[in-house]
Amino acid sequence: MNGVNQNQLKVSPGAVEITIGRITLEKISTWFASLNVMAIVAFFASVLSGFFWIYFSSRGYNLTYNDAMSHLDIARRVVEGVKPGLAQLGSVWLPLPHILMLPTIWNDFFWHSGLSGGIPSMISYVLACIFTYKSIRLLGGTEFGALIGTAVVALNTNFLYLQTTALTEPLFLGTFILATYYLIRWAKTQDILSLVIAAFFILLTGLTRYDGWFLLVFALFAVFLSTYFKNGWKKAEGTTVLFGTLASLGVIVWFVWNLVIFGNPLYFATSEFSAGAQQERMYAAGVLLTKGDILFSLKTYFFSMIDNIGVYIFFFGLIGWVYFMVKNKNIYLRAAGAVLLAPMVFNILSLYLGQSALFLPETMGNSWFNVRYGIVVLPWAAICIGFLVSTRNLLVKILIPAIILLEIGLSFSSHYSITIVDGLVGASQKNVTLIGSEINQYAGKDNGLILASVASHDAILFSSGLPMRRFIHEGTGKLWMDSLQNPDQYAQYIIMRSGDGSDSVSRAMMKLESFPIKYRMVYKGDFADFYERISFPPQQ
Amino acid sequence: MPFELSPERGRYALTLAIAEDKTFQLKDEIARMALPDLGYYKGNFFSIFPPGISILVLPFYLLGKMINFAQLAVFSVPAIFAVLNSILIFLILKKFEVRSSYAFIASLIFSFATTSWSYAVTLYQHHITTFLILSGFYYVLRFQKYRKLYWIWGLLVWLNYAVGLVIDSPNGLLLLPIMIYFLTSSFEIKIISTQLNIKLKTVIVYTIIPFLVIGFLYGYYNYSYFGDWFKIRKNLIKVTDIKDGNIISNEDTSVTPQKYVLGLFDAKNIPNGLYTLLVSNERGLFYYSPIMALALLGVISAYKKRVRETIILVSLISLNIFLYSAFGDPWGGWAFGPRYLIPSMAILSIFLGFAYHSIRSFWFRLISFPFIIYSVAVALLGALTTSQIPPRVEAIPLGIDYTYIRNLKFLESGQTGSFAYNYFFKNYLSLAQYWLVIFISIVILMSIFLFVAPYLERRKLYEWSKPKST
Repeated sequence: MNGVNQNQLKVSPGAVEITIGRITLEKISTWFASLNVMAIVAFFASVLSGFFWIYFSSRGYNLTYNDAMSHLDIARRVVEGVKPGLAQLGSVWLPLPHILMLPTIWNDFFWHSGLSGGIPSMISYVLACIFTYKSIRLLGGTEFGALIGTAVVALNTNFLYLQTTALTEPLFLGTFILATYYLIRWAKTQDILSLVIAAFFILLTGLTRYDGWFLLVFALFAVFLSTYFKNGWKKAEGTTVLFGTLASLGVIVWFVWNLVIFGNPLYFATSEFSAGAQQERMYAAGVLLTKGDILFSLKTYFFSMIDNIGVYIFFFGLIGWVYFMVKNKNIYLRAAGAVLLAPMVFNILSLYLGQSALFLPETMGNSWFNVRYGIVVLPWAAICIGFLVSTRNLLVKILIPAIILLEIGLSFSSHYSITIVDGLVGASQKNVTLIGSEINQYAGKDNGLILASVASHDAILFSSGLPMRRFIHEGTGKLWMDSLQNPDQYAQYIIMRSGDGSDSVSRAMMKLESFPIKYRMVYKGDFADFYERISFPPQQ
Repeated sequence: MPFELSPERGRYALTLAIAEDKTFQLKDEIARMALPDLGYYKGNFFSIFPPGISILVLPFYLLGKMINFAQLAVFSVPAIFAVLNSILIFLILKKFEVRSSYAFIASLIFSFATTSWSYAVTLYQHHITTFLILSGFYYVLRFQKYRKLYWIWGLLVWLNYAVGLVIDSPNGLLLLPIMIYFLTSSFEIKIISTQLNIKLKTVIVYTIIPFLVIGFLYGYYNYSYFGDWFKIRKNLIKVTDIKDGNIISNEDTSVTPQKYVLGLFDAKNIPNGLYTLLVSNERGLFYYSPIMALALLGVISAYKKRVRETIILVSLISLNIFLYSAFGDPWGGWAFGPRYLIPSMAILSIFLGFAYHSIRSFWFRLISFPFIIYSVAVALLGALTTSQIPPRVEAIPLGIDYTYIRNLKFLESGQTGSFAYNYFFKNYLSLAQYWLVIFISIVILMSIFLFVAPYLERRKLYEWSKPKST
């Protein structure tokens, strides 16, 4: 028994020798086994999330995107405004991100700091890290492989930034990874509950971004085909119906919502405020070069992906995906692997069909717009890399993580995040701070109503810091319609882009002969002008 | 051609300053010679390059000066290192028990089928850095044997690392895999009955002396001239011209720049850098030397034979590519081919040797032959004519070519800096004919080692292995 736990340290001129006895080795091994790695992942993800929220919000970066400010305003209008209510959730943007802000958006600090939108994003980030780790482990990946894959997600500088904002991408990533995890679980165990939970999370993705609708269709096909080839028609039919019914509920609800509130189930797609309409205007202006050009769409999205997740990470993810699909003979797992590609396929198709616009320096010269769209392939890359690195091949195990960590390290050391660049200097931002503070100065002294189109100037409304009840906008129903006809009866102030008819208020004012008589411009801004009623009629 | 590009002039200028003025500061005409790779600090001019190469060639300069061939003597140094690199490739492959014919063909490919050839006749750091990498790897291979006086190999490893830092700043990172290889070779991990035994040979610590000495001297040089032990050349104000005693710079000359080594590399450069260095027609490794693509096959067979060494060699290539893809100037300024990847070319040549050895099929060698021919043709163009190929973004406004088409035009017009051609052959052959003669000679040499030598070697081995009849 004497020799079994002899820990020794021997120092001689030629060597330093350490001997670790069996019992000590067993203790170390037990300690490692007892570590709750998932809890550690959750802890570090939470710390990173909180740290970067403080870092970016102290610099105002979490509010640079126009869309982020708009999302916050939409949620705010539900609880506060001339006509508060759920109808303020609107049409074009899917409702889940705004619904998740409702518990906190009523508070001015949470609203104006952006924390109301940041909280769901940050929770999504932490969940994304945890479930990336769990997904890789579930696929048979080693602890090391799972940690590398998790690092790809957790240390992505673009994700770290986006999770501090009120944008919808972090929530989509979180729900997508959750859906993927449960799909993998179903694929491995054929457990129906896992399939139902997967369907639930796909439902949530469908209420977050339209990428989720494509994911739904993709997943439906994957579930159907894999079950059909394995178990035949009857089982495939039943499984798909079960999965599809729940997963598509969000889409159905959205159609019904549009029908009930706006009188047209396709209002979100056909209205003048829709993405499609916006893209049509861009196409007419000759800047939507991806429409109808599949090669250019592929090239554009390729650069978006590598700018968001890193070029080495992208290529290792691709190798990992091929390895995954070849190595796994389980058709259900292959189906789950195919589903990981859904966001990539969706975005390329969207660009090709002209349903979205994406500008990058690599394809459009010095311009940035919607560059963040490439971040949605992060789960695909992370899971595939985690699986690849779990191989026994030492060359792969050592080299790939080393290069990935070098790339991540370099992103940090060079402070590089293309989504921040877009938010600071790209077309996804407008520096409306100046006009916002001017409006606050003029209109902050009284309670007069301000007529403005939120479709065009929501960021200005946000920047002004004034409460929503001060604004007459598209969501205020009859008041809005009446104000466009007789603004002087209702609005003491007007925000609009003068002269070019690019927003609905300016188009309406251009038709009113009395407008120049009743209103004077008090501030001319880069993106809009601010008007004050010359003499306001007495309240009736 | 000698001195056609500023990095050569800058290093030669520093050698002149050390030899003639006994100082590291560049004065008057010597400073002008180094433009635009000239740095300025507190009223004095310095080369922006680390002084290692200039010091290394100094003895050659002094010897050559005695016979009025100083410049030739200095420019022979990279050629010497180029030859040494070829020898090292052969030796390393022999250590891995690769057949001599394949080891030799790998050396020949590095020497004549890659754009490293152009830099064997120019005063750049690439062949010296490659030598430090290959020799460092070789020293560790020898060190691992733990034979008598094995500690000398350890001394040489540390010496290499120290010299690498003085030659070029990124070498501190580029040589890191060698140091990791050295460290892991100094460890022994065994499981004896139920106990884990970890042994670290302290020779890795004792042999650090050369590193400390050279490191101290280099730090002292930085401290003496720049007031900081760790100052890098990039922290000098870069001078673009000197007019009437005034320096012209794109930087604010009233402020000392504060840059750090990592700041030279940026993640946003990686996509363009990778494309430029690997596949572009401006500098692409596989565009200029497509034979290198076949080396990837050798990685698989090398891994089966020597796991740790393969990981180290692949790490060296990966780090080389990673660093310079993140560098703001992957083109290397006006250059021929991907000069920053010369170390990778040497290592890929090693893997090529493995590929030939493990595949051994006549058809594989036959398929690789056109790749070799093309690569030799392009490499010879560069070596014979010019390394002054601008990046595309500079070439287009100037209306000149940015690929080896420019070299072809030089060939057609007979422009070359080749001493041998200008001195011996100019009156008898056109430059194009001279190119053709060299090209055919190399192709014949390659064919012999690719097709004939393996056959002879196999026969010899077969006869050796036959039992001798009594």
